[in-house]
Amino acid sequence: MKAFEYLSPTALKDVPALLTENAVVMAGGSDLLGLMKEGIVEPSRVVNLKNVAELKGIKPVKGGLRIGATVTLAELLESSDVRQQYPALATAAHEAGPPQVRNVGTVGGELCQRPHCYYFRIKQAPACTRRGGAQCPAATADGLSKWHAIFANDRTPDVSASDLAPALIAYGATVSILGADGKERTMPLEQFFVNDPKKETVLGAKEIVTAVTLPAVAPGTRGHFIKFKERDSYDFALVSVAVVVRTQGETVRDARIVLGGVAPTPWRSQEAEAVLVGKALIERTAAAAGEAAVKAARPLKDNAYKVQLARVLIKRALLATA
Amino acid sequence: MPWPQNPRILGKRHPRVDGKAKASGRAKYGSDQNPKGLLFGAILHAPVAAGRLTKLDISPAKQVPGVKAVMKFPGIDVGSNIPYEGLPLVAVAATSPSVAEDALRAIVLEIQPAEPLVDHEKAMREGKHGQPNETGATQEEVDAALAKSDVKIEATYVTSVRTHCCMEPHGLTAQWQGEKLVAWCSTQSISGVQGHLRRSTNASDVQVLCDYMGGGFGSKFDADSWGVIAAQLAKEAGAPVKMFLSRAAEHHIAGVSPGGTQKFRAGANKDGKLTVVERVHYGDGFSLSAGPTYVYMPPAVTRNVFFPINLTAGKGRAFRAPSHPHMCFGTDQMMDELAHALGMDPLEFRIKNLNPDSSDPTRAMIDRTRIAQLRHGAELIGWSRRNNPPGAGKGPIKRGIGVACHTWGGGPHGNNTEVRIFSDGRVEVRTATQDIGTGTRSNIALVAAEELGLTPEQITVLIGNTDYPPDGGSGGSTTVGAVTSGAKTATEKAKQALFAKVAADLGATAADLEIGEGGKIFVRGNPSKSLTWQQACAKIGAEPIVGRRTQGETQPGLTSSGVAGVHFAEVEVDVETGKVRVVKFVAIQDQGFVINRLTCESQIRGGAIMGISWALGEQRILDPESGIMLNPDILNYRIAGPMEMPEIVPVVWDPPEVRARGVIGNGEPPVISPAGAIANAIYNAIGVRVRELPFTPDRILNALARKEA
Repeated sequence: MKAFEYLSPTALKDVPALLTENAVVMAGGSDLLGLMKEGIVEPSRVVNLKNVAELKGIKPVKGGLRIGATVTLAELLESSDVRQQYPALATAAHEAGPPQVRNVGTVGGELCQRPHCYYFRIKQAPACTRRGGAQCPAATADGLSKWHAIFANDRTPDVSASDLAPALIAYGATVSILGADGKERTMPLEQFFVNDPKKETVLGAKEIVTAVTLPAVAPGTRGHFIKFKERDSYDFALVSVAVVVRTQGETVRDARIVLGGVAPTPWRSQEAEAVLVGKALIERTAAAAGEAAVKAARPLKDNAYKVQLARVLIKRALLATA
Repeated sequence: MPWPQNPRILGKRHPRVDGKAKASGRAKYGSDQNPKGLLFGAILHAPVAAGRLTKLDISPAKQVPGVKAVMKFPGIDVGSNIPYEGLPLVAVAATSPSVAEDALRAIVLEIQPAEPLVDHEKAMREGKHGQPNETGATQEEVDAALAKSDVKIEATYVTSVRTHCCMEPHGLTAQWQGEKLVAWCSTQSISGVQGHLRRSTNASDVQVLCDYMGGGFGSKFDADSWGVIAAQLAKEAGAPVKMFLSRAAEHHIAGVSPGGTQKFRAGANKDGKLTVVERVHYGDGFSLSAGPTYVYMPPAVTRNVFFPINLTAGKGRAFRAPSHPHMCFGTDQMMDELAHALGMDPLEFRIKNLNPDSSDPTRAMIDRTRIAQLRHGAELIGWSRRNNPPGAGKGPIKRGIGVACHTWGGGPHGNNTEVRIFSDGRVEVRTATQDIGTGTRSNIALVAAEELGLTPEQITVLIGNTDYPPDGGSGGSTTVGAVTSGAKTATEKAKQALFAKVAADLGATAADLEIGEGGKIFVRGNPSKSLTWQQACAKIGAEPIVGRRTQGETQPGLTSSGVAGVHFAEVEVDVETGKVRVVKFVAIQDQGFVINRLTCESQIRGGAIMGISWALGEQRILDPESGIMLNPDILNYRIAGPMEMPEIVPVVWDPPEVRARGVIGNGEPPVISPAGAIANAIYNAIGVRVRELPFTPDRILNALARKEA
């Protein structure tokens, strides 16, 4: 990789000033270093966030949890609060990578990981719009689209690979962002991701994620996460699904269903959620929710199988909470 | 001197003599060698699949501080054709890997791209193939035989291209000692590397060293162009150079197992006998080495046609049992489809088409073995539990069982071995072989220890150095046969020389002496007249006793070739997600006389793992437009991991008739059948034939969707 300047601040307030032109931030580095070795990202400065005290740790807030951006996936898994109150998130953290990745990979990095499409990652391949190409090669007649989006795929149809995002969104998490002006802003995590041919999140060049915050879990809430991979040992999701369902007696009162691997952003299916609310969670309603979720799917040349995967995984995840 | 009827240690389970060194990291591989003053090599590879070099200026690379040498690869210059992605263009040697990379970036390179050819089907459609090679009957004769058959099938099977993906990349570290060249190489043939470097450099002498290596599988027989240029860079820079390929380059240029298409037309009669088989196959370097019935008896009418295709992609190289896994995948599915067309048990149909009564004794022997293996395997896997009819069963998870058969040669390559016994009791065995990972050191130690009544730990095995007596490359599963017969003969000679030395002290002649447990030498019939090993060796004197076996001396009965193997797979297929899990795998293998049952089983397990990995995920993916490989890494080139592995039951098949044949290598045969067995198991589970590798969820779901449509 190309030579770069390396800085390692310890205080959050010092970070914005360091993010000069062509600087990047690094936490675990498991995504960034690969991009740098391949020459897809060639920063002149790398700012390490792992020594910034304010970005560390999991803290209880208002019945929920604030999870610092540099909390590792392994730390997330070790938290009994996470495992007991947010089991779908714990599963997602476990599924996000093999042990080596979980030990260094962070929550902030997992949410901000770049797309894993070969047209983005392989420098010699026809160029993705995210590295200057005019059009997504996967969307052309010759392109290979097996791993691509079945929803919102009319622009650059690569997929959001985050496993944490569907689970966090299903639990109603918010994300905190430190701006160039040194001020922190907070928004629903769902709004953090954008379908844009150039970028995947709302983050500006000089902004960083500082934390995600989970609200308290209402009584009667159950969650489940399934990641379906081509190779179980380690892989990104072909399709993943997080469901969080609150029932009262036999009746579903609230449901959140969020898919990964099917769209350029995590894909919340309000159509599927609407099918469930007010009904008992039984096989028929679970199947109907899966059916409703894929109604708007428009598969590309090579990925019609993902429609079936999304349909059946939603059904199975819902039944696992029943 | 045949193998002992009742061996003391041979054929039992022994941990590798170098197991601790490997597990602890003390074992040093070629890529671990860091001689003083080492420079790091790096290669500029062609970044396109097809094109022509229009500009190449390497002078800016020479200006980068820390760069000690820069060289074009032979034949590379403006005007050069780029036949595939990754073609090595320029090599540099520098004081650090990052300086070497900076130097590569400084090189001015321009290429006029050309249209790539990466699709076999497209090549066939557009007539972009070479002259077809036809053997056997005519198409009309096949048509006529099919018309007369009780049942017939027509089916197309497609195998994916696997890249060599050895754990240790290809490469070497080159150091000049005056006019002599020393190379630490990751290789399966130190003699092959030595010959290659002798031909390609002007070294007065070449010594190749390889104590340990991290996988070869057919792709590491010579120094490769990058090994040769490393030696030339080292010469120019006046310092040692280490040159190993990157993982991406491994995928691009270290060699592939070519994949391709096999179109079968085949018929059979109600008596269960094949009547006609035609195979038309095409691919890049895909020529299949055996006829269309592979291990089964060919019927009166067979036809084989091959169309060669030259893709703009990394080229084929020997790959663990070259072409056999592909033949097994086609032929054993064809057999399965015919059995179903006949309504016959697929296992009985296979047996009907073997010939244990053949007038060819090897054929008869192998088919007898195979039939016994099929019967035994059917018991172990529970063949009677298979899904009947295929696809039956409630719920989304279907189970199925399938079988496939394979064969392989083996036989020894030429070997020279020298055994030295020293006055302090030490025993050294020297031969210029290498351990490709099969446990060669241990095999040699076990044979010498058996012969001398010692333990394998008492034997020092010296291999991996071309200064030792010559041996051949580890290819074709020939090493174990070569080195064990060499060790056996050389040790026997050294033993006789030792007997001659001590006979007078025991008041006997050498012919009267025997050796027993602990190396005790005694007079036959009078064991009280004896010397301990140490006492006997003390009489040797300053010069060690030497026993030599030279290449020309071969002894009947020590080695042989030609084996039978049978694999049974049980799979679970989720018809709602397309997920295939292999849940149980029974792998039965004959390999003649077994030296070390533990490493023998390891080979059978390793073969099963590698074959299952191909069946479930491995494929080179090329971009149709640019021809660029889209998965030159270990994330998207999906080699199976622990979660993909079933319960594997390795069966070392060695009844007396098989043992009597002598040692036969088993490195290759156990990798052949998994994909065919799994294909047949998937059909048994879901009642739909999936004819293209690998068996990924999309393929299974698409096949199921086609059935419904």
